[in-house]
Amino acid sequence: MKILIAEDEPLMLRTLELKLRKDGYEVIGSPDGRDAMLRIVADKPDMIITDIMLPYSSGLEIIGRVKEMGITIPIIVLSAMGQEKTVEEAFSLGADDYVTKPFSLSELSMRIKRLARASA
Amino acid sequence: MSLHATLHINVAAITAYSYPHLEGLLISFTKYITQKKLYGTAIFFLIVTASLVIATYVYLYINKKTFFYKKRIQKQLDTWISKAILEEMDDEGENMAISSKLRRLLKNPIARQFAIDELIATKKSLTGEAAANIVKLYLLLGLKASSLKKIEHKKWHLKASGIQELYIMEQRDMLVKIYRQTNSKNEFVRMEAQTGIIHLSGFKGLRFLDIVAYPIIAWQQIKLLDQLSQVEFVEMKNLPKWLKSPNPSVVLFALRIVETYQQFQVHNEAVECLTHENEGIRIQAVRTLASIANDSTATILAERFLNERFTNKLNILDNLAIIATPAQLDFLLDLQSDADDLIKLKAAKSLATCSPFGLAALETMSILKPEPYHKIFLHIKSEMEA
Repeated sequence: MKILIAEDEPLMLRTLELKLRKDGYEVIGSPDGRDAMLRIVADKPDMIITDIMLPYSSGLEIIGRVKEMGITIPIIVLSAMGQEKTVEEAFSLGADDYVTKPFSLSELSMRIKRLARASA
Repeated sequence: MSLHATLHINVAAITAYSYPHLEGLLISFTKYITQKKLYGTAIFFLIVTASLVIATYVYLYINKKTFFYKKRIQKQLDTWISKAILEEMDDEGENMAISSKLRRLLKNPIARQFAIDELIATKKSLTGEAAANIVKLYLLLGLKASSLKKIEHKKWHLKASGIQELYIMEQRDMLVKIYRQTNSKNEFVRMEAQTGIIHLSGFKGLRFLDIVAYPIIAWQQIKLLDQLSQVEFVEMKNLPKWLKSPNPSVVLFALRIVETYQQFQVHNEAVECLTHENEGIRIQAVRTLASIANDSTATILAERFLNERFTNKLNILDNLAIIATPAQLDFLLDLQSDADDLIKLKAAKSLATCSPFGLAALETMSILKPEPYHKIFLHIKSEMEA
């Protein structure tokens, strides 16, 4: 399973990449929204994990464009505390799940597994 | 003919034609500008321009070098740190091997600060074992020493950033050092220390309210309340003391805490705040009392009404709409003859909620004196139906 992670904090991105690779996934890391969009089109991931605040294009814009293109893959949103309104917006755009920062890596792993099972 | 002579003749001719009264002045000015002076000025400007270009170039070059140096550090550090975060570490993290290359790299202050910034940013996003590993790495790499150096620094921005690093990395043994800064004369150091103390010790950290002599600004109060909402509630024995603090911002903050956590036991102290000289405190005291109201609160607020300024009068009426009882019926009916229509309307709202007779009384008044009571009655009725 190929997962795209869009996260602008370099160490966070690297940690998530390593963790998911350890869990046995193929991982594509993107440091910003524009790069993420290009990777979605070129690499066709099976799942997207995106931060809300990203340079160039926000996580919400990514979700909106993915749904516009008719791509039906699960999307997990990484949100900060106090972004409930944004998370609501993300759900209305088509996000499937969200994790609030700070989160534990095992929680994220469980959510990925659950979504992967549901979409299989 | 020399350049100087040509310039002199041309300028003099043009000036004499256009501005006859300035002719004499300009002629003496052009006589002053010699060829030597013109060349001198040109060379001066050339040197200034060249210096500016060189300075800009050097600045951009240094920036570029620092940028690429940071990128290089990032590549080396991120790979090692992210692996370390996911490793199973022992309690002290001593089973983690740090290469000599990494140790050498971390001797550079830019690299050390970069590592701290990266660890802090990641720590804010993670919990559980990964977050604990980040703290272990911070200690293992000796980065705490850098934060400690900063906290002792004279520059306020370094002090504030040192405090932030220590509390985000959960360095509870630094509580005393951070606590000392909660009354720093620098606003930013103070705010960071107050945030840190609450982060590390929750409600117990509020003890800084005993000593803080400087104002706690509204934004900081909101931030602290938000932080408190994320930790387990602990009873605050010093609440009565804070409500009588000589620092008005401490009183205001304490009233907000009483309102948020419904601290009924300090009702009397909150009542005393109704006569505080600071209007902001009086307004907050009304709101707080409405949230911890007992049988006497509505009567106390109604008694206070006449001594208040317009804004707080409206505030009292808004809160009476929540807590008024039939005992306030006469008071609220009297207000229907107030000169101000807004007071009439707000009093009518409280009237309608305080007693089953309130709305009926308003209806009777609207029949007897349609202007303005009919509109007020319809407004209140529609609000109640909604």
